[in-house]
This record gives sequence, structure tokens and C-alpha cells, in this order.
Amino acid sequence: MNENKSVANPLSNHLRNSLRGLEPDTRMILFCIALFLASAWFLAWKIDRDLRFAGDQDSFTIAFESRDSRSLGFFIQNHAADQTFTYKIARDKKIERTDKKFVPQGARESIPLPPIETGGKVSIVVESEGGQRQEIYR
Amino acid sequence: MSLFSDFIGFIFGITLFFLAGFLTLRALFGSKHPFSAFEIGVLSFALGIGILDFSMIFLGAQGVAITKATAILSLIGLPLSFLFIRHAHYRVCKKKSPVSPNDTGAALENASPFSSTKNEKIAFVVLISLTVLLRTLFLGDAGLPTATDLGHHMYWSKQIQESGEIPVYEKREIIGEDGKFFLSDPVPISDFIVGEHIPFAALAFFSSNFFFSSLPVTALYLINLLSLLAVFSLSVRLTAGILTKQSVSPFSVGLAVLFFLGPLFAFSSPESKFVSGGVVGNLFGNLFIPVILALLFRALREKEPRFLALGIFLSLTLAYTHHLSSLVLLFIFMGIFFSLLLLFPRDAVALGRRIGRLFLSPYPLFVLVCALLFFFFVAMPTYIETNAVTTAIGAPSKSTRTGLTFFQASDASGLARISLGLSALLLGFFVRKIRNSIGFSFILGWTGSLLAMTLAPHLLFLDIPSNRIGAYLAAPLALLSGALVALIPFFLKARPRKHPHSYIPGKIFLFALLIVFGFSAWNGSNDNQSSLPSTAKKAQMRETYDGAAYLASRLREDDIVLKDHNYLVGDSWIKLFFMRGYEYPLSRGFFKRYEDETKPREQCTLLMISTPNLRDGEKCFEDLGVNLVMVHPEYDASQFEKSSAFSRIYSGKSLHIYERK
Repeated sequence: MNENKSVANPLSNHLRNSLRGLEPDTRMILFCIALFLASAWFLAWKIDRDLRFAGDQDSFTIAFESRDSRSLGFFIQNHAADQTFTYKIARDKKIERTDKKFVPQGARESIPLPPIETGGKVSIVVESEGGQRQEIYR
Repeated sequence: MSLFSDFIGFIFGITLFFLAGFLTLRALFGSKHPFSAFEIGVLSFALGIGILDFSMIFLGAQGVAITKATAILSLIGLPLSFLFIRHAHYRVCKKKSPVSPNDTGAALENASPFSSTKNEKIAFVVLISLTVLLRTLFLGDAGLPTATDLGHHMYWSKQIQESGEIPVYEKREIIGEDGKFFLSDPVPISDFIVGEHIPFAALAFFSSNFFFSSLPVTALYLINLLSLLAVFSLSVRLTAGILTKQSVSPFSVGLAVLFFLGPLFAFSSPESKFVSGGVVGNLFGNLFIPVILALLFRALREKEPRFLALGIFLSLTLAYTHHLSSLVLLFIFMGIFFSLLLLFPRDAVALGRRIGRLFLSPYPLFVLVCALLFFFFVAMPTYIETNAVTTAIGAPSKSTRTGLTFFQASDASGLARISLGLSALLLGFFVRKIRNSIGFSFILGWTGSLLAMTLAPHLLFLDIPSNRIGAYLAAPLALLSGALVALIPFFLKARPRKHPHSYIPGKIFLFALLIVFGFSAWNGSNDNQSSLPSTAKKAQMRETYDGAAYLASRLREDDIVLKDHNYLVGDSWIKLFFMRGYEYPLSRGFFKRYEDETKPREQCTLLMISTPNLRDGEKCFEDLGVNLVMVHPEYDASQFEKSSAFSRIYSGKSLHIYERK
């Protein structure tokens, strides 16, 4: 049993003996390095998480897919918990079309639409279940 | 690449900096080097930065592309060459004489001042753990890549990484002539120096998503931690010659200094804000200045020219990294010079001869000659080329440059640090053993020059923002405060000799010690509590990035973008998505800048966002060709909604993008 322990822990024994053989200030520096690595990894993980997901859980964005002034296709980028969106297409404030779109949290969904054929201001209003509203127009 | 692989790449890059410096120290001093592990760590990193900077500048000037391979080659190849030269030299000398060429005849101090008791080791571990914990807590929110200064610096680092060239620091400006507005030809920018950007560019080669991550701030955090260890090491060295083990150990002075620099004012101190704010140059200055002073101190005290050679090399590295820190270092040198004259008037000639002999030794001469050749034939620092020096010298031109009051300075440095620090300085004059030490001259010159620059810059003909200079006071004041606190137990043990009536009972001193400790801890931690960041604007930052990425993927050749700096979070990072020049996108700056009479500026960037549908704003849009505008809807949507000239192509809670038809 004791033989098994010494065989099982040769690496930790070797590590312990190596550390004991070092100068005290070298051991303190190694401790500082280990502390910094742990801290840096925590910061990397936390800030990466914040960059991806954290923040206002009640927000979403919409934007036209194309810069073409006649194109109406748009996307919904959802960061909110609400996943069902209602969108309305209006021309000169007159609603021409209403529909719904399901967009999971963290996802982006495109809604293709036929291009503008005649003049006038065309606006797309998107509302979430929670009442948040965004509008784009051309 | 995943987060973990980016992190490993970052650690690999950092390790190369340390390795480069360590190999250089081995080449210079051999295996029996006269440094403690703390000094090796700090010095290796600083030397690695210097080696990388000068190698990259040299290669860039020769037209060699800056890539991952050249970065690795510079960091490893050059120090290995030094080691090879040393080895070859040793073999030649060994054949001629059995004595090692390592021995210059001078007795060098080793790491013995850093010897510590078990309790001191525990105290060090506790202090450094507390320091790291508090900074991690602060940077967990404040370390998001949103800071304006950091965004500007990272643009240039990304420019180096993508182009493989040393950048030309210039930007185009909006100017009005004959009633028409246009973008000027590129004009030089003197505020950026290449040494601030090369290290980050090198690290970016090893991590695919370096810039939009925690890694830039983590690199600055490492520099800040190393600067704490640098001041810690300096304090041990400075006090080693004054204190004996029977009184107070130099290591315990270092611990006290670490207490004042580490856990106290962890959040509110300028250094912490510099890390989160990305004030790159100042952080490099806070690291390099104590390292250089330690080397020069040891060169003078131990008469070893290799220390001086390293000090000169690192001073030059600082000159190619941050102009303000270089100017501060110059004044510190002058302060130390005058302190030595003041405290050792009878030894002035002997000191002068000692300094002269050091400078005329082979190692320092070699470094100086290389520096002159580099300066005149390879590259000069940007601020020299653009004559920016003349703008920093002269009578103060604004109220923010006329000096701080004492209480303003204590706000910047901490009341505990400044009061204890100045008390320690005063006390030093009355204790003969301290007054007659070279270490005290150094600390007097360092502190005195910074106090003069901060409180009375007009006496030195300085025209620089006074609060920026005040930030440099933290290190010397912490050193003095730590020394004073560490010496209190010495007075507790003191027994009356010639003047029994001057003996103060130990209990009163113990009470005084507790009062001092309590005051310091309260002052420092109180600042910490009031400086913890409120809820970070994470969602706004993310929207800014998403919007910039959206626009960048759809940008046409002739698009000109304008964005707002007042309300958009992380707006200075937008340029990293476009990489079309430092001034792209154009920016509406802080409102007060448009009213600054000492520095008149164009009004177009203000008018195009504030009044886009009025005649002046429209003229600016037409003349400059701006067709895309990024604003915060809560503050700037209404004026665009009223105008029929704009489409809204992107809509989020904290970002709207408008396109001019």
C-alpha cells in the first residue's frame, strides 16, 4: 500500500522537492506568477462572457441587410429573453404588411422582403413581446 | 480560435519578453548574477520590451516586414547572439588566463538584502494576494475594451500587425478655406510614440482575437504589477545600505511600501485608472522609472558600469516609448544631481570622478554609441521629429497646467501617502545616517523634482497638464511612507542613551503606530469603495461593436462616416473595425472643446450631428462627403428623424446609424 502511494505520487514528490530546493524569493516570484495567471484567466473568461452575452437583457437591434436604397430585406439581432417579434411594413405611415418572427436569444434572423418599387418613405417597425420597439426606414 | 488558445498565445508572447531579458542578463552577468528573483523578473520584462522595440524599429526602417517570425527572432535571436558573444569571449579569455571575465574586480551586492523571515514571507504573500484580488475585482468590469485612450493606441498596434510596417503617425483634419470645408493632407501626430504600440502588436501575433478581448488590459495590468515589484525592489536596495538587520530589515521596508502601493487606493489611484483607461505610456513610465533608478543607484554605489549600461539602455527605451515619462525622468536625474550636491558638497569632486569613470567604461560607452547611431541613422522618436518638445517647455498656457494645490496633489496621490511621505522626507534630514546615504539623495531628488513639477511648474518652465505629472508622485511617496511606517518598530525598541528625557514609552509609540496604520488603511480603502465601478455599460459597448462591424462589412470606397464621442460607449474602438486611417471615422468630440478659445477647432463635426438639417450642417455634409452617421438615439435621434435627407439603416437601444440620401 505504501509502495503504491510513493509510485502514485512521484510527480508531486518531485515537484515538492524541486520547490524546496529553490531560493525563497524565487518561490515567492513563482507564487506571483501563478496568482497573475489565475487572475488573467479569470479576466479573460469574464470579459469574453460580457462581450458575448452580458448586459441589457431587454435589447435587440434591427438593420437593413443591404446598402441598396431600394432593398428592404432586414435582420433582427436578439439579445433579449423575448423571442417572438412582430414586424410591420408601412409606406408613408400606411401599414402594408404585418407578420411575426421567432428569433432565439443570441441569434440573428434575416427577413427577406421584395425591393421598393415606387417612391415614398418605407419604414419597418419591429416590436418585441415585452413592448420594446425599433424602427428603420428608407 | 478559442478563448483558451488566445490566452495561451498571449502567455507565450509575454514569456518571450521575459526570456529575451533574462538571456540578456545572463549574457551580461553570467550565471552568478547580482539580482534577486524579484529584480530578475522586473528587469527581464523591461529589457525584453527594449529589445523588441529597437529590433522592430530597425527592421522596419530596413524595409523588413514585421511578422510573428520577425518578432520571435528579435526577442530570441538578439539575446542568444549576446550569449554566444559572451561564451566566445570567455573561451578566448580562458585560454589567455584562468580568471573568469565575469569578474570586474568590483564586489557586487547579491540578493541578501532580500532575505526575509517566515513572517515576512507570509506578509508578502498576503499583500500581493490582496493587491491582485482587488485589481482583478476592479478590472472585471472596468477592463472591458471601451476606454478611449486604449482604443486609440490599439488602432496603431493593429495597424502594425496588419501592415507589417512601422506606422507613420499622422491624421487628416477638417479645415475651412474660402468658405469650403475639406479634409487636409495628413499632418503628423506627436502624441503617439511607436514604443507604446510595438509590444501590443507583437502580442497580437499570438492571439487571433487580441484586440477585442481582455488581453490589452491584462497586458497593462501585468505592467502595473511589475511596476509595484520594481518599487518594492528599489525600496529594499535603497534602504539596504542604511538599515541593519538589528534595526529593521530592508525587506520589511519593501513590505510596507507594497502595502502603500498595492492594496491601498487599488481602485482610485491613477495607476489603476491608467490600466482600465489604457494610458499606456504612463504605465510604461511607472515601470521603467524605478527600474532605471535602481540600476543607476547600484552603478553609483557598487561602481559597476554594467548597471549603468542597462540603465542607459532602458532610459533610451523609455525615450522611444513615452515622451512625458522621458521628460519626468530627465527632471528626476537633475533632481538627484542637485540632491547629491546638496548632501555631499565636500565629496562633489570624488562623486563626479566616479560618475565619469562609470560613463567612460566599455559597456556604457558601447550603449551610448549605439544609441547615437540609432538616433541619427535609423529613427528618432516622433516627438523629436515633430518638434513637440517646444510645446512642453515654456510658461503654462492653460489653467490646468499652472500646478496643483497641495490638496489636489493629495487627491491624486492619496492623503495618507502624501502626508506620511513628506513626513518621512523631513525626518530623513534629521537622522544623520539616513541623510548621509546615497539612497536618501536618490529619493530626495526623485520626490523633490516631481513635487516641483506638480506644485510649481512655472519655476521649471513646464507647460504640461499638472495632474498628469502628479500621477508620478505615487511611487516615491509610497516608498517614503513605507519606510516611515517600517521604522516605527525601530523607535519602539529604542532605549535612551544620552538624552533620557527624550525617550518616549513604547506603549505610546505602539498607539501611534496603530493610529497611522488605521488612518492609512481607512484613507486607502475608503477611496476603493467610492471607486468601484457602477454597472458597466456592457450592452451599449456591444451595440457599438455590432454596429461598427455591420457598417465595416458594407462600407464602400467613397463612404465617409461620422460618429459621436459624447454618448456612444467605446466609440474610439470603431476605427479598429474600419482601419481606414486614424481620423476615420470623423468624430464629434466633447462639446467643451468646440468652445475652447485657446485652441479653436472646426465646427463641422459638431454641426453635422447637432443640427444636420440646418444650412451650416448641410454645407458640411456636402463639402466633406459625409454620408453615414453613428449616434446614440437617446440624445441625437430627433434631429435626424425630422430630416427627410436621412434613412435610418440600423436601429438599436443605444446606437442608430443614419445614411444620407
